[in-house]
Amino acid sequence: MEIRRQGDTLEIAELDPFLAELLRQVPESTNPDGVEAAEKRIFSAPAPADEHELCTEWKQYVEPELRRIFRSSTEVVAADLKMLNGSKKPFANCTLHIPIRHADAWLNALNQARLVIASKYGFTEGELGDHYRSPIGSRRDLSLFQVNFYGFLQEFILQEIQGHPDDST
Amino acid sequence: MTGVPEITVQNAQRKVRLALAPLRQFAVDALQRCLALAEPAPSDLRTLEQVTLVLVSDRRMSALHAQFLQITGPTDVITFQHGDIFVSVETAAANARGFRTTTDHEVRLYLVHGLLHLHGFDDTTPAQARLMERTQQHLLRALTGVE
Amino acid sequence: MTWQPLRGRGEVVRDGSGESTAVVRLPFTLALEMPELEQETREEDLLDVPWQVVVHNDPVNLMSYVTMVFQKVFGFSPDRAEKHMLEVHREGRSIVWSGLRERAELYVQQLHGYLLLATIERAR
Repeated sequence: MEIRRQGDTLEIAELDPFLAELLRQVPESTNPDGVEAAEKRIFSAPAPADEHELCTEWKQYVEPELRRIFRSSTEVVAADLKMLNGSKKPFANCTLHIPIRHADAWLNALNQARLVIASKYGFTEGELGDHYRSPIGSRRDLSLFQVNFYGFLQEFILQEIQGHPDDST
Repeated sequence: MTGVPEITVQNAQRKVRLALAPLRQFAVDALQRCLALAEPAPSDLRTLEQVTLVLVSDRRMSALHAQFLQITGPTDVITFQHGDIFVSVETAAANARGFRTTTDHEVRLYLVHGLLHLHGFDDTTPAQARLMERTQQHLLRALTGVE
Repeated sequence: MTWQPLRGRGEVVRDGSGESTAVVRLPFTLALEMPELEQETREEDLLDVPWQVVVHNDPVNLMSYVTMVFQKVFGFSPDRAEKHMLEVHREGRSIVWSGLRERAELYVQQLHGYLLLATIERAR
């Protein structure tokens, strides 16, 4: 896999089918799927537990707006990922182009996905920091790899947009 | 004692330039408008003889913050029951940049906020905070034409 | 507050030939004295306790991401953003802003939009 910036686009080339599939799962991975820990993390409390009134009003007035923001980011990413589909050679490496103006949406969606997956599996700080661990076949291990892969992409996008302040949306 | 307290403005900082004469007039006008409002709780403003707006630097505000709240760093406004309203002009300038207003507007906002606290308004609960915020914006609009 | 301007002092200087020149030594100096709060002023006398925006640690969020968010939301310099990020990372939390309640709520909302763990708390 090769990642580079080409003008106003971030290009992820030589994506092998496995990593391409992980990328395709980003939009779906942002969905908490009714898992309480994931919901609680994505829509975290704005104040200590004893501030009942504030927390209740937050849920009523602020949370819908947050859902809209998160949904919007996911939709942008899903649209960009469409270019990974419809290849005549499904097992060949492929290339993904991300417009730089979509960088914030990608950062947001990748973060959503990482938080939801981490909440679902209860990854510890130690596990998340162990970048040398290889997936050994369990779904949990694979999900940990997924979280770290998405984190790697986030780092790359951050590096590129911070090198070009005008790209901030 | 019921009467109108005297309000003065003291500039104890040199970090940010401010036009003091219009601010002093604003302070007098703001105080009068506050006193015309019905207080939601007992008002210190009706019994004080003197209210002082003290314009300070971040350094001085940080010292107050640490002294009375054991917290590091400055804040925008701290109001005392005896009538001192401390405003950090440096923080006002920083907030003006962040919220796309002006330093003058921010200082007036904090002064009105402090006066309302002295007049019995509070922002502890969301309902109280909403009332205080609405009243604050109403006063600012009436006095400056800006919210 | 009281202030006493120390005015420039004028004096007459004579050189060797007897010529005299009036000299005024400047600059004016203003000694600004802060109004000292009365000794008996207590925490209970505080009417207007600031609201704080507190960011809490989450091991999933990348350090670089958190730093970027602080710069974007608060306009912090890279150094200041990194300082608060490291405080979150090492201490578990950092007070990133203090001020009026409605603004603190707005900041917390923005931080939640970036998926940071943030709360609004009263300073005491």
